[in-house]
Amino acid sequence: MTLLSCTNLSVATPVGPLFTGLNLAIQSGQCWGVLGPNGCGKSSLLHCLSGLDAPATGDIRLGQQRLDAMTHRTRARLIGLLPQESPYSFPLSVLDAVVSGRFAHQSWFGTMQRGERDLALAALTSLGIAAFAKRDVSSLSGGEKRKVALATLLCQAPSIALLDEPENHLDPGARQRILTQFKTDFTQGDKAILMVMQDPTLALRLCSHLLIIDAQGQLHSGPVEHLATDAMLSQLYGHPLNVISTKHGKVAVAL
Amino acid sequence: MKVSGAIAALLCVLLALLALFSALLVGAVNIPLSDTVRLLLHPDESLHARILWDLRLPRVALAFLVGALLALAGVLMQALLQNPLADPYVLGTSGGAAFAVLAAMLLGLPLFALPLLAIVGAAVSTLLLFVVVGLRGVQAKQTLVLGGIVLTTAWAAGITYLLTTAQQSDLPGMLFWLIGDLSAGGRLLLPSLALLVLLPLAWLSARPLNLLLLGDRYAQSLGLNVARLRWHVVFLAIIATALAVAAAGPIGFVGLVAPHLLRLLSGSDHRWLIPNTALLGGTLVVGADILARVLHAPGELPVGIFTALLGVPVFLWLLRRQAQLQ
Repeated sequence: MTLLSCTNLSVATPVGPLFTGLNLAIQSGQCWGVLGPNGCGKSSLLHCLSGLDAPATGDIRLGQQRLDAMTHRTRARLIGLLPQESPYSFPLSVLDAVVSGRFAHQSWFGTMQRGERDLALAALTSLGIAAFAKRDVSSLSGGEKRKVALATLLCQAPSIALLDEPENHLDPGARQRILTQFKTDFTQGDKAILMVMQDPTLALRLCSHLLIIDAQGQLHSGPVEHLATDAMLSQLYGHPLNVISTKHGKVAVAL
Repeated sequence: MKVSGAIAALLCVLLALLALFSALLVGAVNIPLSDTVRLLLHPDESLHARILWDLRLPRVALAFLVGALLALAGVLMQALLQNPLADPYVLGTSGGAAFAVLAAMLLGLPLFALPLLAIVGAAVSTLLLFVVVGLRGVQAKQTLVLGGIVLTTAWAAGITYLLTTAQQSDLPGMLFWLIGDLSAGGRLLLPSLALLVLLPLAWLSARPLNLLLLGDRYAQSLGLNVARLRWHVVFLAIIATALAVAAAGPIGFVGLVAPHLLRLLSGSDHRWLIPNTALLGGTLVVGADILARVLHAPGELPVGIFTALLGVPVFLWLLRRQAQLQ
């Protein structure tokens, strides 16, 4: 089943277009990785797909419905975005920050219900930071803040998770554990996940499909085994890369 | 050490009752405590009863209402702009309202026109700040404060011009009003109505405002219609400020101090912060008015002197702390 699709999508900055003519259909159960050099429009694409910004041209549909015709609330029940940075500059308890993921599910003035609290605590537990529930989120380290943002997304429980560089600030162990868990959670049932990544090895390990955006705005999409080749990745990053098969799967090494 | 919002609310209620009762006790005429209680419960035709019911009670009520409205405007602007320095007085909203009210007085417009013009003045000033400085600008702390200072200075210049055209005999009263004049106890209806309507409307936005603490874009991705909330909240803040200024002149810094003290005490959950701030704001102005009436008895001082004495250090301290955080 197609969850999220876009046709003839163009993404632009005030200076000019980043890429044009993107056609994409994300089916339930798929895990997409978006790769590309810095500034190619990966985050801008995510902001369009999550309804934060309007695309320059083209339309985005959730199932049959146009994204721009949905209310903010309905949209947020279906699509969740992990922003690239979540600064948490105001004092707020970790639990309150995570419960804010439930906003789209609440009545207009919902008080915090027991169910929400439990959901938030479960999300914190699954990320291994339940002990932080009462701490002030603005006092946490970068990696801990990242886990709070990831827990917020779990709590939001959308059908489609859009993650902007989810590996940021996470140590290598947490990176593997947490992202594998997200992949598992969001590829069961009618759900899908799309992650913007800087590390091709992570994409090789987790993703079923890739969207590749190069510096000239050329687009390639398809199953990961077709696209993740030495030639493609080397050309993409303007630096020689080798895809090497190991007994634990493929890794991409920059030479 | 933070306390829960409910405990902060209890403290605010107790403080408010204490301040209100003390304010009824003090004044140029000494009315003993026992008489005060008796006359409040069973008013008679005595002079003391008249002083209590016709002079002190309306004045104290006005002080409380005006303080609550200004504090409400402050907490709303701070949440909206994610900036603890936002306050109707610092941002020039009060200045715009004051200019409009003063102009209306000089033109001899009828009394009922003053609140309407105050709303126009406050709206013009606030929208000017948002449009000229831009939304990103007002969220950048220094830009916001600078923009506010420039607007406040501009309104002050306009007010000075109005004063030079005024009759000599009107000047002392006008100058007094410009620093906060609570003697117009007769005009209680509009501020009471305003608080009764605006406070629940603001409180209904408490949870969205909490979400906004995460940042505009993040809040929007979590399902909040940020643009709609912004207009709703700006509208409430403008009306609250304008009606407070129309009733008692531009009293400064209440909107800055009350929310800030409460954030230190019990955190930023707006479901508690909004009602608590209104209570504490009212209490602060009632307290300042006690000082204004006691220190210069039997005369009185403008109440804004005392809110400024408290507010200016708090403002400077906030500014310093922000500089350190960067």
